[in-house]
Amino acid sequence: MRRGAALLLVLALAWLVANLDAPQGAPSRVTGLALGVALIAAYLAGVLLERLKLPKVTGYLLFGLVCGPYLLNFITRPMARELQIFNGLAVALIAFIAGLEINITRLAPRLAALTRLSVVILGTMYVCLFVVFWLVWPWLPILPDAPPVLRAALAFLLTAVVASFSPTVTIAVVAESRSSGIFTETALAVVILADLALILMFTVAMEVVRWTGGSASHEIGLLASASWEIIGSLAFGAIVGALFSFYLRSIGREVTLVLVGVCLLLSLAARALHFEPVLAALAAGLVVENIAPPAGDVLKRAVERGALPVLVIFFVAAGASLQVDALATIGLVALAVAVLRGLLAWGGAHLGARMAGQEPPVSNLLWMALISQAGVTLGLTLIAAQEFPTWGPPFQTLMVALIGINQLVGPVALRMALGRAGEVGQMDEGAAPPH
Amino acid sequence: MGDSPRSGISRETRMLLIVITLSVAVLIVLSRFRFPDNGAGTPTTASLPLDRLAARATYDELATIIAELGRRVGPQVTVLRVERAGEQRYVPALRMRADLLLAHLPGDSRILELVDLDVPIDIAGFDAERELVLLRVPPDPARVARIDLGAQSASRPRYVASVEGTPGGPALRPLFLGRTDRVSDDRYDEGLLVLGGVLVASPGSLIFGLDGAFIALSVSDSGYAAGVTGRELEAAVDGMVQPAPQ
Amino acid sequence: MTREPLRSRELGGADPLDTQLGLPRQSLLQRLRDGRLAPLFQRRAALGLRPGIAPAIVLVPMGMLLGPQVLNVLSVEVLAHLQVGISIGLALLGIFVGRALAREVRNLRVIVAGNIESGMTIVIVGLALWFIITQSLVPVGGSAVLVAFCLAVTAAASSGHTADPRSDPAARLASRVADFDDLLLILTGAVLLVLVRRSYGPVSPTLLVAPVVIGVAVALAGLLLFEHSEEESERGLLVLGAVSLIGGASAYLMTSSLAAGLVAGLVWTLLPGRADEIVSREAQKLQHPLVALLLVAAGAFFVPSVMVLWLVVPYVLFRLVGKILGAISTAALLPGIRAVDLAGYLVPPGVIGVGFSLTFMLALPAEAGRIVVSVAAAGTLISEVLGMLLVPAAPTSNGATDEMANAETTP
Repeated sequence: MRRGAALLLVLALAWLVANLDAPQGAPSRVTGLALGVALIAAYLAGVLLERLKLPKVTGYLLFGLVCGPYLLNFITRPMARELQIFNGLAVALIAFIAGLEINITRLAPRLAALTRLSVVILGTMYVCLFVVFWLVWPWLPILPDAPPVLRAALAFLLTAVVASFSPTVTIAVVAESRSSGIFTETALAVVILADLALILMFTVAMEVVRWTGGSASHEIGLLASASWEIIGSLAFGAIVGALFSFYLRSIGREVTLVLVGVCLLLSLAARALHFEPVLAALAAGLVVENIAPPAGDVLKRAVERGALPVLVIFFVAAGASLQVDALATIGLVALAVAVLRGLLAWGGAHLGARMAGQEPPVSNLLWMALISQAGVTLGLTLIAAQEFPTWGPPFQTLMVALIGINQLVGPVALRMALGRAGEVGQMDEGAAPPH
Repeated sequence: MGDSPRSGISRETRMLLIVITLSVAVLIVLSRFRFPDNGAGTPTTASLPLDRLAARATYDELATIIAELGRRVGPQVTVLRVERAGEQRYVPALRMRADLLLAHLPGDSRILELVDLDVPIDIAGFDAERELVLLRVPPDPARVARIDLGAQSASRPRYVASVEGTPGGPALRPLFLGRTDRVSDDRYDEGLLVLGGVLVASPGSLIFGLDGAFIALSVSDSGYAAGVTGRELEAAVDGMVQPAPQ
Repeated sequence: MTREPLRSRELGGADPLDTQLGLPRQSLLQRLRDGRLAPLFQRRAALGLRPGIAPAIVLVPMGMLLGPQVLNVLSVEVLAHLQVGISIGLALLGIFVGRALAREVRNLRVIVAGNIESGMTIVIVGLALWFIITQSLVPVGGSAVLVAFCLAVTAAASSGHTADPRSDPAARLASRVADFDDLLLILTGAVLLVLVRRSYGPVSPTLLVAPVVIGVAVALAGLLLFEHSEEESERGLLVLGAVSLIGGASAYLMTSSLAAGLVAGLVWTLLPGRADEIVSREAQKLQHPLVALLLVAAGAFFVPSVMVLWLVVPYVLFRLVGKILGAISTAALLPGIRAVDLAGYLVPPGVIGVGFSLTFMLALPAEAGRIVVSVAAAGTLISEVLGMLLVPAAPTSNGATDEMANAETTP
């Protein structure tokens, strides 16, 4: 009741302000208002959905979608763009938290099994998706009359992008639900390893498409490019993490401020240097946790407690950025691809769990952690679309629609899996019983 | 916190130093392969992850770059045939939304036709102060321009492309910008970008980066080519589509 | 309401994360046992003021270095995105001012003294700068009187330093005066913002009451939400949401975030409940980064020019004159502290003045806004350095009244 009244008050204020005077000029002036309303209203929407036995994350996403540019347009397109810019900082913070979660000593005994698991999952998805795409290519709206060699190359590229997961969303859901345990650890490890594979496979796929299309070849080697993106990102993040650890030990003042600065550095500098911000932030958190463990643990708990606003904004921005018009254009095809992808994730996860000797809940729930797709996949899609303008736009439309579906369903599925695994709230001592 | 004895370096410190040293060494080695021509004048553009995968030619292959860029940005531009004071000319219009084109036109211009679009002329909005006109066309989300907000005001020497209107469609021309600087302008909150000094881009032309991102709309400002950035144009479009309540 | 030790509004004590991490308590400066700086800090320590460098002295130059004029790490685009954080930071400062005022509402003499002092400074600096601008025909890119009085409002702010309760009562009294002089500033600033907007176009008259409406609405929403949230993370989110709403709504209407925050802080503290405590505790986590953001942003917006140089010298000088005359005028209200000592304590400007300048920058035309921020940033820096030299060297217990210095409202 109180929350409802507060929500009404907040919305009434926002409506009054918006109608009192139209904003002039810079979109950043409207962002603050959107931020304030989104934080309170989206969170209350999440709480409301929690009462309906749905994850809070769903509430944040739906709030963003409903209030976004395509529906109510309360979060207008400029606001959505401004919120996306905060995403850079949010992604870095979220990945840093994930790095703080990874204890190498605890994970080392399971590393071989996790690698085997990931390889089987990805292998299953790659092979099956490639075959299906090759067979149904004439019915896909991406250059249906492509010659056989180009068709194979495009099917490979599409496979690489479709068989990708979202470490950011996974980490965000884990952090938001304060989950911890074997299943959480496994899911995180699999999606992060898959992210590394994605970068490599996309690089290879793009080169193959270029070769078949007769485009100019790279001046920079494939291996050099991928190595810089993967290994370089980890090295850069490790340097930042080590320097941060030194700061904590020797100076240790204004840690909040410095932490924000570190996340900004990881986000902005990483992009400028062509690193992958998620990997860099992950490596930074890893170094802090594994080399300065006492500080890492305390920092982790403090940051996780304070990360909720960042997570809410992340999901609201994700919801607001969903391109509903793409769904309207190519929704059925995207839905079919999403269902196929989900089925293959389920099959691959079961097979992989069996081959890696994983027990329930990993064996029967892991596939639910492999549904989400988000930023990195979208970024790669844009790269491909811009380089190949003949078939790029329909490719982009299909992928945007697919990502939209998976972005809505994925966090919900993961949250349900975490709940069924009994790992929700296990990050805290004396946590409430899992949802 | 930590196990730091008074004498010697603690284990934690040693490990951190090793991590830093190894990481720096790795980066140095990788950079030699990643950036083989690491000269001082090599321009770099900060953009999306993995965009370096896109083929980038050197200075000598500028024509190839421009041709490929034309294929990429061409769909985002529609040429208008306009008349002003008895003279006809061709003006490029940028697709800002799926169904909206934006062009820079003085108020006394008359739009005669859309060169490569066989649709009636439907003016959705006009901003007399900024001399911007908004045209409504059949929606096509795939042709919406990509505006890279991050690359706009970096004042560094670089090549860009100017898109101008011709009877056959949009035509690209490489421009070299020695620098871009901001100047204040009452019509725009964030001012204008002075594009390199003397007039190098015709008013109304569209400036794109070599990565296909839209940078600015060229307008004339006291004899200098000045650019209105994508962010300002987005705000202007929002204002024209949703005018302020009285 | 519970008792809390006096704290600096600007930084609110140590960063809570530092405390949780159990990090080294000694700052780098405290480790400097030798050097010319040591006697200065020892002198300040003897007065009960915690030795340390004011954040502006480090952060404003850092902003200048990182800004578009030098390294361009904080480019114009980045600064545009940071505007959101700036308005939220100002709202937070306003909330703290409102809390402090509400808690000390019975200490009328000190509140009145503070506002007389700031009022005099505004008048003196405003008239002086107006005269200089009009006589010298310095191009300020806008209305001379508005620019002059915008600068005057930024000049009138003083920072209150944390005082050790065992220290000299006069020093603590001076800190309170510095704390309470913000009320008139915030109100004047809000009115000035509306006048600035009116000078460039029609403005709805409801804009004058907008900060009150925003502050009250958000405060009421907060009262309904804060006390009934069970988890710390939820409380943190709701408080951040409320502060963002205050800052965002104010920025949207281009009114004063400080004023809206002041109203919200007053409501939360005066009405029954624990909302003010909850806000204070959660907002502390944001305080350091947001204050740092304000100072760094002000430095980054700094654009050196002849106009700025021409104005910054009279800005600092007349600010000093205003503080001295203000202290003399209010000394009669404040037994227990000499006027000249009070003036010395009021020299350090703190962060609110810089915050004002950032707000004015949004409303004024581009050139005028840049000049206001540049003069305020440079003036703040110079005044902070002056403050290190002008703070009194010896205790001044002249029949000091501990009651006035220690006055706290009781529940």
